[in-house]
Order: sequence, then C-alpha cells, then structure tokens
Amino acid sequence: MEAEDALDCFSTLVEFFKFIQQSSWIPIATEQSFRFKAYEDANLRLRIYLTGRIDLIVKTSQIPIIPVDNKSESERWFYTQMSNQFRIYALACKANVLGVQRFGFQKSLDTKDKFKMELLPFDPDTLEEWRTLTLPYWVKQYLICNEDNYWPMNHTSCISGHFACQFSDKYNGGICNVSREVREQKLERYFKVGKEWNPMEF
Amino acid sequence: MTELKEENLIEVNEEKWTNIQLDSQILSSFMSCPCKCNYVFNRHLIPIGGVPKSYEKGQLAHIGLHEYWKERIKSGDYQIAAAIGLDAAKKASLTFTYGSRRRTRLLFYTCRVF
Repeated sequence: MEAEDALDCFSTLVEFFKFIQQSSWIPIATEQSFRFKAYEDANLRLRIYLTGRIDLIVKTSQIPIIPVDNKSESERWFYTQMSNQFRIYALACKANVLGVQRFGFQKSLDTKDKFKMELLPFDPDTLEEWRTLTLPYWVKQYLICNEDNYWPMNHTSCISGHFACQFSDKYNGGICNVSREVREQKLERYFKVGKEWNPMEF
Repeated sequence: MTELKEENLIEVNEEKWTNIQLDSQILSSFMSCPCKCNYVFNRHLIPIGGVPKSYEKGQLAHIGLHEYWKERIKSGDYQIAAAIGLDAAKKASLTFTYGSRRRTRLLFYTCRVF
C-alpha cells in the first residue's frame, strides 16, 4: 500500500464519521458472527451450515433488524440482490431487507453519494428457493468434486469486465492455460500456501 | 467448505451424516469456478506478491469503521467513536508495508498531526 492511500483512507473516514451523525438508524451489533443450519436432507443424510460475519446490524423505528455490509469502493458499483453473501446475511438475521453501506474513495462525488446506504429488499420466496434448491444443488456439486478430486475450470469466469482471475493468463503467463505439469511448477513459483480461510477472522 | 468433525454431529446415534459448513466466499468461489475454489480454499494458495493494494485500503477503512460502530454501540457518543475509529485505522496502517521510505516517513508524520 502507498502512504497516500492510507492518508486518503483517514480523510475519508473523517468525512464519513461527520456524515453518519445525521443518520437516525440505531446500531445494535458490529462484526456479528453467525452459524446456522440452513438445510437438511434426511434421505441424503446431508446438513448444510452457513457461517459468516456481518459488519453491522442496525434497527429503525419501523424495521427491527437490518444487516448491513460495508463496501469500500473507488468506483461506483452496482450491488445485487442475487449476491450469495447478502442472501446468507438476510437468512441469518431472518430479515427481508439488507443494507449496503457504501464507503467511497471517489473525489468527484458528493458526500451523500459516496456514503449512500442502499437498501436491498428480498422476496421471501426467492430466499426460500435459494436455501432449499440452489444451495443444496451447489453443495452436492462440491461433494462430487471432492469425491472425484476433480475441480473443473469454468472458462467463462476467467475474465469479468476489468477483472481477471489471479490464475488466468493475465498474470505471469497464466496457470490454468498451461499443461498440468507446468501448471504445478508455476503454482509453486508464483503462489505460496497461506493460512486456512476462516470467515470469523478479522 | 469444511466437513464438521464427528463430535459436532447432533444426532450421534444415527447413521453418519455429512455435515457441510461454508460461507459466502467459498460458495461464490465454487459457483464461479470450482478450480479456483480448490486452489484458494482447499490448497490455500495466495500470490507471492500479497494482496492487491486496493484490498489493503479497504481493509484499513473496515478496521476504522468497526471500531467506530463498536464505540457507538457502547457509549452512543459520536465524537468519541470517531476519534477511536480514526485512531484504530492509524494504528493499523503502521502494520502495512509501504512503497518507499520517503512515503512511509510522510505517513508516520501525518499520522501524528492528523
């Protein structure tokens, strides 16, 4: 990180802290971890637990619980109701609305736009469809991959807009596009083994 | 995605259940590309060069916001919460690696006077 980036972050925080004083929403929890059983199939003997950590939970006079996700951004993003993360948070809180708190670093935008809180409503049936059909489908696919120890590439995900997968040929000549033998050598050269992923860690 | 350990099973007398625990990052990664999911979440591979700069800046903001809201919930005081939030971000920033010595000195100096 460049020092200027840190300074920019500090000044944006100061601006945000001033701006948020006007908000009437009442914070009730921050960095709230959760784990709940989302699905169970007695025939398959399969249980799916979902975990995560919600940045902020607020309430208003009308809505008793709103999970909020902080999104820092250098350019304007569109946040979708289709997001797995947002759906999981809504299910965890038994809420049908989720807030996305923008934290914009843009110099060209007004304060109210940089820090706009977007409210995403959820149709209860879409959440139920996701929980009882979509989620188990993908978990079963995962179990098949795990059983076969074969993890197929999805070539349509390598590049998405300006973003490229770190294993795509945009970086270091690519990992997935070379022979399997060379692939392992390049993985060793350009990657290291990090800590096991833990969603509860800060 | 992790399979829960035997002792976590709720109904221990039943035929063995498969218990899967996952979060949105693992699920989204798998849905996007199973191969990438395997590299990142099963093999725990991270680029030698570390995380992108833009990610670090977001992390810093996240730390400041977390401390701010924690204090807001605790005391309800906007001013104290803002001071604590900013201070947490400043402290955290000193643990990051910076591009050059000159810039790092600039940062350390500005942290003091900010």
